[in-house]
Amino acid sequence: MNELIDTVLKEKRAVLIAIILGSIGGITSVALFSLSGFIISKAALLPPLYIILFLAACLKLFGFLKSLSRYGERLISHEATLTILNDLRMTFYDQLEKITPRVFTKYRSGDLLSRVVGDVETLQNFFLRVFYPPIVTAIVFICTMFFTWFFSAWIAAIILLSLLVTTVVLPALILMHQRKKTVKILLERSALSTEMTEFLFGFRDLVISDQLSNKTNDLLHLAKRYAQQQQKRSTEIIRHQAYNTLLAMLTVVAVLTIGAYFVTTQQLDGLYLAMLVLLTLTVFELAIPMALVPSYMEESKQAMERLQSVMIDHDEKIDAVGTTIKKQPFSVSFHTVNFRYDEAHQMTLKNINFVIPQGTRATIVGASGSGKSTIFQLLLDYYSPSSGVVCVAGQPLESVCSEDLWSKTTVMLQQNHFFYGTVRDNLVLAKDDASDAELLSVLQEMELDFELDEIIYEKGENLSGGEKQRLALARVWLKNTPVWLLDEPFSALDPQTERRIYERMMQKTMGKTVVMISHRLMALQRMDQVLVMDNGELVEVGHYDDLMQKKGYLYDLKQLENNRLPS
Amino acid sequence: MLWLQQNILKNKGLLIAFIVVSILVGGAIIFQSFYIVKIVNAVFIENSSFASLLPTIWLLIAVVIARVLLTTSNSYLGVLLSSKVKQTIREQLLLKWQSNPLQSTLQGQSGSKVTMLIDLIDELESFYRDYIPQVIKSIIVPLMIISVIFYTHFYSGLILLITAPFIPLSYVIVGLQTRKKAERQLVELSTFSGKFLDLLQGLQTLKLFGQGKKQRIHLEESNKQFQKSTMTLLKTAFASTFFIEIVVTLGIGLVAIEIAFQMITFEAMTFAQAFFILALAPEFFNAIKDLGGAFHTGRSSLAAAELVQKELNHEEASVQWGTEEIPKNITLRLIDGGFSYGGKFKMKQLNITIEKGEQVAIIGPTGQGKTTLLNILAGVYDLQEGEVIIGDKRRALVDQQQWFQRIAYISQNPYLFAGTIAENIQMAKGQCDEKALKEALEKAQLDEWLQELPDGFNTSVGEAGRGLSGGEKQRIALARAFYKKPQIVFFDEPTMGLDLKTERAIQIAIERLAQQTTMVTVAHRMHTIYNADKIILLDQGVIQIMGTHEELKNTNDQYQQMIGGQSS
Repeated sequence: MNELIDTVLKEKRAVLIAIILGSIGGITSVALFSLSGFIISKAALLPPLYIILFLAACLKLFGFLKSLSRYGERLISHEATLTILNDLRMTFYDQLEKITPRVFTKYRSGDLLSRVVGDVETLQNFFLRVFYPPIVTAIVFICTMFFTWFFSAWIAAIILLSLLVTTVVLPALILMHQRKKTVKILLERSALSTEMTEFLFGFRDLVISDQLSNKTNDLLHLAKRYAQQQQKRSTEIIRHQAYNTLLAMLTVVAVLTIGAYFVTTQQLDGLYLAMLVLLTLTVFELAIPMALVPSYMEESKQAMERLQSVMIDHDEKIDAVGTTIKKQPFSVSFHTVNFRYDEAHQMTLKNINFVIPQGTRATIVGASGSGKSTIFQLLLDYYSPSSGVVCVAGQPLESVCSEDLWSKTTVMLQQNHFFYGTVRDNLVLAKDDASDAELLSVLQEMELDFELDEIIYEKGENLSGGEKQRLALARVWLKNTPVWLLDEPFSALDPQTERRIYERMMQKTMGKTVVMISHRLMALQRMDQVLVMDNGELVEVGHYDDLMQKKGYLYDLKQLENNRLPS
Repeated sequence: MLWLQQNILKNKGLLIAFIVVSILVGGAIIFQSFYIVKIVNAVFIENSSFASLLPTIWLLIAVVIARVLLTTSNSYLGVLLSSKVKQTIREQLLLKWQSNPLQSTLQGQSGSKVTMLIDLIDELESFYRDYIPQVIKSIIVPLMIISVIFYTHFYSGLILLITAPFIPLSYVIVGLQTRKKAERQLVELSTFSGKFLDLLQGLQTLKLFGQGKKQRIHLEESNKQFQKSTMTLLKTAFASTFFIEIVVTLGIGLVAIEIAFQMITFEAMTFAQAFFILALAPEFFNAIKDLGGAFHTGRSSLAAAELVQKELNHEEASVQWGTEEIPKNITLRLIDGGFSYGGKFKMKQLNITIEKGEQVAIIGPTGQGKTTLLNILAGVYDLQEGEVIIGDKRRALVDQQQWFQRIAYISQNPYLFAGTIAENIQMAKGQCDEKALKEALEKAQLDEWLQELPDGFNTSVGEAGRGLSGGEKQRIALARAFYKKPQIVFFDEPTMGLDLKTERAIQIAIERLAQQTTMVTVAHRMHTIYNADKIILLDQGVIQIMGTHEELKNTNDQYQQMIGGQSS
């Protein structure tokens, strides 16, 4: 919450102006109605016409002033809000940028990120509805009270009392009540969404198991419960509004009654009674929105907490700190490495030992889930081993500057992100100064028939799996540092294309350090080493020919592959 | 629009209730002002005693309470109506989706369907909760107020009548002007959020290429751009509010001056009349003004309604079933079958006979209709041309439930529901036949694996439960098949690497299953193909050739190529 206030306070000037204009707007609107009440009361006493004309002129002035200051207030406060949101987005991006890619090992889902985007949006209510309007209301009330005090202390006291109830007591009660309710709605909502997802994903299995109508009934039931919860909440909000309005109206009646009493006892001039009644009516119109402040505050608080939760706990290592890697290409080695993911109950990597000397090439093979990709996660320093040491160029990774490591390594992961933009935009990420000719020649090498200005959708949604993979490979070709790490780079290609691009890769990586993950056992002979993983263990290491001769695990895998149609 | 209105007209009772309540609210507003004026007038002008006022004060309190109660019940009615309509539409959608054929369920993005069911329908709420009651109120209440004002003092009424149309007019003018802008702005907003999200999701890639900081500049730029265009739009919107407020103030001011003149110069008006009109004038304008806000919420509801309506009206042919008994001997035949997803790819001239107990392997290049054919045979897709014959009856005549009771389908990625392993195998909640379950688990080679789990087959899996690997899921689906004891098994063989142990376990289990049943497999294993009684080679949506391995290996080039390609 403090961070939020800090961010808002960066816009001090705007806050101040909004408060001033808001107060002027509030005071003039109160003044406007009070004055009109006064005018007709005065008119009833048949004063000279010029007095009425003068008062009417004031009335016009107030009216204009009120509208104008409201206009200004809205403009300033919205401008400030947009700036604040802008700042928040940038701060969030900066912070995330610092801890990426590590944070993504924890929050893989785009779902969380999209929630975060929504959360930033939610925070716009903070400034517009939570931060300064209460101050404005307070100022307007204080002024009104002073004014009223001048005529009757009792009436001022009544206004003060019901103001406190409207803005403090009632909202507090509502908030206490609401907190429990919101959770329930969210629960029903997520239950409905979970079941609906299951309904869609499991549709075929439901049809075949003859469970479809049961599931639909479950869903209908859940939808009903969700709607009931919503209805409950809506009626509650209506009830709260009713309390508020009733309170305001009764205050008006009280002011009127006491005022009338004082007029009969000569303690108040009857001339002012209409004015005071209209004043009370207007001032409470301003107070009613205050009842919503707590719930907006709660909402903003939750949004901010979620934003921060992404950032907490990730300050272990700063990417830009550490020694740089001197040797190029460098070697890569694991020394008795064990690794377990935070939530997992089993070791994902068990006692891994290997050395890939500089300038040599190795393939890691094994079934899906055997721990191949985890080796890359450790190599890129996304995770630290639970025990043991990972080294590059003979240096333990802990002491190596991550940004330096990444800049000297050409990486292709299984999931490669493509941004909304042109083919060119997506390629020059890998090489800023690449000429169009160079980009086109790389595309050609990847057998991609793209124009550089062709648009690629977010996440490459308009590309096929094979196109995405080749486009990612094109980036690899462009970056082309002396060390390459490739995770299943050809899995979505047909065998012929795979063979051709594999051949080009072998040409291109002559003399480089290459570690490649593959589930297919193709062309392993040409690698200096094959590492065979099974269930988190490195079961075999060596040259392909030796391993085949040994008739061990790799041999069995190869037999299995032979017993399959090439896919 | 039509559709939303239709839904209201179905609830005529509520509509009438809205009108009645609105009339009562109008009455309460008028009487509230009346009593306030009466009290002030009594002490200020008539110098009455306080005690004589008490009945009027009580009446005022009663009217105030009545007004609040009425407004509240108006809102309650709106909530009631929206709840009812929402529930009805959700029901319609769900039933529609339930009867959808599988192909459209699998093709559609499930995320957007979930959003439609929950969020889009929630969007409709404001239409019924706010818009409709407000429209009714905004028509009735101002009319009542202005009638009363006309009755009290003709010229004041005239002033209000002349100024009031400026409010809707300015809405119209500004609305016309900003609408296009606002729509573009909405599009921009979503692309902007999208861009932010895009960048966040791609941060890992950006960092690996050392571009994280550079992209910041782009983000900042588009951020600023977005801010600027938003402000332009807001300025117009605020200007319109400004204009409306000026109109209102002017209107009230004019009335006030006119009244004062009437009182002083002509002495044609009493204080009570004047105060009464002055108290009512703001209520008059407010009721009209509120309509503008309601229009805004109404519009977003309309957009949502259009999407929902489109989905509801989207006609789709589902698999045809009948009511007749399934024949005992379920041979399966396709006669001149044709199928297409609506795109370029078409399957045609599908003629297949699958005898009881036969082992059938479907092979062919990727994307040539293997899984589609499996789905057609299993009864989850329907043919667009030709016939599916079960035994001696057309599929369109036989009972769906009976058919699905006799088959099992093991997909490449079987779906496990939130529940225990046992529930997932019997595909129903609650008690199960433990002996049969254990047998099924053993046959699916799961018994060893289950022993490692603390809760055995009562372990929770699926959404909320333990995440399972692909091999484990397939074996659970196999256990499902063993438990069900079907007459035909449809099996989509895994293409991707499982570890040696799992691979062998699945192979053994499949062989066991094959001994008991007819089996139709989309095959990737040579073993399956060699042992098949019938191999169906599919390419470009057409059956290229059919036969056993022995028959095909020397006669068909394409088959030879497919088989031969393996050892390279």
